[in-house]
Amino acid sequence: MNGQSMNDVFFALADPTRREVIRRLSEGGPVTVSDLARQLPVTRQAVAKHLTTLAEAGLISAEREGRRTRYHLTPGPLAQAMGWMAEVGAEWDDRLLALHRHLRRGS
Amino acid sequence: MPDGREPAGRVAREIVLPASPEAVWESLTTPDQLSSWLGSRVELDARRGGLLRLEGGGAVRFGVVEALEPFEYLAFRWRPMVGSPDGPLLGPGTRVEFFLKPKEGGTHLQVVETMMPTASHTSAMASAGASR
Repeated sequence: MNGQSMNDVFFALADPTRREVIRRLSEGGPVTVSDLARQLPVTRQAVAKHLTTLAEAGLISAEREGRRTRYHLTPGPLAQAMGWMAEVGAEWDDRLLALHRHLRRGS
Repeated sequence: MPDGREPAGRVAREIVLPASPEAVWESLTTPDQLSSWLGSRVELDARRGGLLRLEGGGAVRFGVVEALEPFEYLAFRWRPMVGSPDGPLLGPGTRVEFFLKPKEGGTHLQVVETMMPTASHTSAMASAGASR
C-alpha cells in the first residue's frame, strides 16, 4: 500500500459515522444503503456519501444484486492500516529504548 | 478534535528517561546526539521551518521542524522522501510530536506520530464541515 492509499484509509476511518458503518459491516455482513439509513442517525444521502468514501479507500466494496446494491467489508486495507500502526509503534519502542541507553551513558 | 473526528492514524508511546528535560531536549535537537542514538547520520536546523535530514539504511529522509518550545515540546512534519525533499514519497506523511515533562529526577517523554491528511482530504473535511 502506498502513502496515498494509506492516507485514504485513515481519512476514511477518521469519521465516527464511517467507523460505525465499518463496525456494522464487520458484524452483520452485507448491507444496503437503506439498511444503514434505518440504523444510523444520518440521512440516506449522508450514508451514501460515507459509503463512497469507504469504497474509494478500498475498505468496502459494492455488489449489485438486481436493483439492490449491497456493501461488504474488504479486510485487506484495514489490516494494512493496523500493520502500519504496529510498525510505527515498534520503531518508536526501539528508538526510545536507544534514547534511554544514550542518556544513561551520558549521565 | 472540534468536530468529533479523531485522527485514526495515530501512534503514541511514552517513556521515563533518566535525565533532565534539558538533557533530553539536547538529545532531540542536537545533530551529533541524534546521530548517536538514532544510529543514522542526522542533520538538523533546530528552529521553526528548519530542515531535518536523516540518512541511514540506504535512504535519505526529510522532515521540517514545525514547532518548538524548548525543554517542553517539539514537532516536525515527517516527509519520508527518497533522495531530496522533492523526491518520491516512501510512505505517508506524518507529524511527529515530543512532549517533555519533568518527573522525579528524570523526564517523562511522550512521542506521538500522526498520519497527516493530504491536501484533498483537508478540503474534503472543510466542505464536509461546511455542509453539516
